Amino acid sequence: MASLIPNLEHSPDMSPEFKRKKRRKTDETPGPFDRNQGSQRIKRWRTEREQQIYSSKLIEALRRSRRTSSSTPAKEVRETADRVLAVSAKGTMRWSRAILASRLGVGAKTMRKHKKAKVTANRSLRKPEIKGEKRKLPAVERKLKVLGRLVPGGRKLSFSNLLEETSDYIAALEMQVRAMTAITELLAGAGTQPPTDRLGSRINS
Amino acid sequence: MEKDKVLMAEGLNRTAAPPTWNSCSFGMDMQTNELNCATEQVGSCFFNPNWDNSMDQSDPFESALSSMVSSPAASNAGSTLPGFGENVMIRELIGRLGNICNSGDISPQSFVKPNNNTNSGNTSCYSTPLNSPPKLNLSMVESQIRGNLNLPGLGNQLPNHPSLAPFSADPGFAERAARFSCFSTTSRNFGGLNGQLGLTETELPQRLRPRMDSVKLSRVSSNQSIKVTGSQVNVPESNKNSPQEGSSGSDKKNSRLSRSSSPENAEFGDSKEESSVSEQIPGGDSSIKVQNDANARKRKSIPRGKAKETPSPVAADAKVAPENGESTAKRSKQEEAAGNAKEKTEQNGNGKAANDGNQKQGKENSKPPEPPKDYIHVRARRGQATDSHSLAERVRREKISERMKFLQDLVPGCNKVTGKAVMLDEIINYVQSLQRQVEFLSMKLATVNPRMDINMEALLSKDMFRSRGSLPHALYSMDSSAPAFPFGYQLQQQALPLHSGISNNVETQFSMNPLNAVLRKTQGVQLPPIDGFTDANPQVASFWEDDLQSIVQMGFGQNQAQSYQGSMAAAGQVKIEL
Repeated sequence: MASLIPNLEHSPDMSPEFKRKKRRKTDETPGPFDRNQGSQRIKRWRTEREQQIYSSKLIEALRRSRRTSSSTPAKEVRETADRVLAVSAKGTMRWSRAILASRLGVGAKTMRKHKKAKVTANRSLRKPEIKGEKRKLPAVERKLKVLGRLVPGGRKLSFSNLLEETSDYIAALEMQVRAMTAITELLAGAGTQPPTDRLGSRINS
Repeated sequence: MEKDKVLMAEGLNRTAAPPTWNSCSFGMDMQTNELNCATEQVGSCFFNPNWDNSMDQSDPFESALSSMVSSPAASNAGSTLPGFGENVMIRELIGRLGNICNSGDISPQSFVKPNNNTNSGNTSCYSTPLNSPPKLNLSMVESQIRGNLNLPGLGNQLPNHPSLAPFSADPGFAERAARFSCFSTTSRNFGGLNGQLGLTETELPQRLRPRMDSVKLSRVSSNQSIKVTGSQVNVPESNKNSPQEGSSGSDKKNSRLSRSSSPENAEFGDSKEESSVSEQIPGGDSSIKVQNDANARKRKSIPRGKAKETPSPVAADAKVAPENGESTAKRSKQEEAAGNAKEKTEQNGNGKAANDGNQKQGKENSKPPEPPKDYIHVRARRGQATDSHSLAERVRREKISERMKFLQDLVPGCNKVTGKAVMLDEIINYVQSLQRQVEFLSMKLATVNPRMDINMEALLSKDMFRSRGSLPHALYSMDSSAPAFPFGYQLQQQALPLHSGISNNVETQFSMNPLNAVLRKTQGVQLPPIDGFTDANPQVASFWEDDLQSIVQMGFGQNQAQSYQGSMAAAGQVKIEL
């Protein structure tokens, strides 16, 4: 993870140059191989092993993070969970690196700056609307933008790369939900059962 | 003669093993090896099964060879230039090899000038179909040949020989050239062995005639005889007649050709026999016939004939192109737009069964020597635009559609949806729902979290103090070995009533109901654990942590439901013992 950090710090610095609607091309994986690699990656997210690893890491992180609670517990838990998920991705995917970068705070600041600048640039560049006609980007592109906002680090991706990131992100999210549900069940279940009603009778019988 | 046969056999044998051929084709070693073994009967080489096999493999070459050989044979009758024939023959063959081979540069491009009408883009036979820069090691051969053959006045006469005419792309040429090469290398040393070879030379054509079962043999023999006579070989004329030669390029063929040329030059000396031999040669007609099939065959012959290691992708492409008109392997250029565009269009042309087989093959063959580039290979489909832009666009679209299909499998409920916009909508919705679930779960975990430590400590402390040891034993056992199974097994019976509740939660993960239920549970439970469980025993806590870890692992290693049962049963037991 430490090795990832220097790389991540560079990318936010470079982004102001490319921010203007330019989709920065990430390294293109070769077409014929993409399906194999992608499916392998995604299948990895579905394995039990990955879920175990994630769960244990999450528990560890949660235990540690209880000491320093910077924000509301729910948000903190959420951030911890996302961070651990990104770590589980081992930095192969862009969204994982983006998550880890954002955690550093450096990336967050620069991204905030970019956000503001981006807005102003849009306003200046946008042509005056013709009366009665709403100027919208093509539907697909709009949705791409929305999706890019949803997926961490997806704002500057091209269509195909964004789709790839999305598929991996969805698989990772599903695993995250499964793992967190299980943990929650474990912990909640520890306290939920009424102590004597069912088990007591069972044990005594 | 025996030497010749052996040499030819050697050459043929080597053609069967291209890599070795390439390595030593133009080396002096070949000569020495061949000569050393020359004592055996040379005539047998004509019947060499390798020869036949190689011949069979390269049918298109036959006609080219025949044409090449026939013309000199035909023209040989009258004119004679002393001391020229050998080297001229060699030069001719080399020139033809230059068309085929892409391994090195051929120096005598000056030879080729005027008579090259066949290939449009080729002003010199050496620059034809296979490569724009003919990369042929024939220069080496030539130098060697020149060195060996100290024929008088040859050096002066060589440069301006007009007869070394266009070695245009001939499908059969490479094959024939390669075959001839087996003679050529041998002939290098024949300069000094002319005396010995005199008999053999005469014998060979005689032997050849009755053995003209294969046209190629006859052609070879006639060629050789031409050389030996020293007549000015109107090899150029033969070259003219075979304008299609030299399309497929392989070092193997080149080497064979070069090797064959020299022995041809040296071995045979009877012009009369040449003429007789030449009559038996089918002549250049077949070559013309071949021309029409050349395009189709060239591509096929290229992969077959190729002796190189690298062009497996190219060979595959070449094979695929004619066979599968809709193959979609494509070369997309990323940086080298111009050069790649050329290659692309060429390959697209190949895929489309265009007619410029020579150029395409030349450029196709120019690819193998290039280091394999790191970009995606695409072939344009039949009937589609071959523009570089459209190709890139097509690649992009295919990539996008491929990934959309992938996402379709991933996102539930997307199978019926078609169209990118609607699918994107679905994907966005799904991602949002997943993120919302994570939010909820993290909130839940946050509420459970403070209880976690307390609970663990408390539970463990209770175990330590109050339990009769069943649970701690279970805990210990879990810690020590892989005891998850006995632990879970113990509690499984007791946890049956809990199972239904757990399974409900597990199964309906994505609905709000279980979350609400769990939240209600947690809220309900929050109060009781807070009171009283305050003694924090670090050891106990560590026990519980390990227990939790092992539970987690156990749960995930086995049935999830089991783990839930186990953990909940354990918790329940602990509570009971309170």
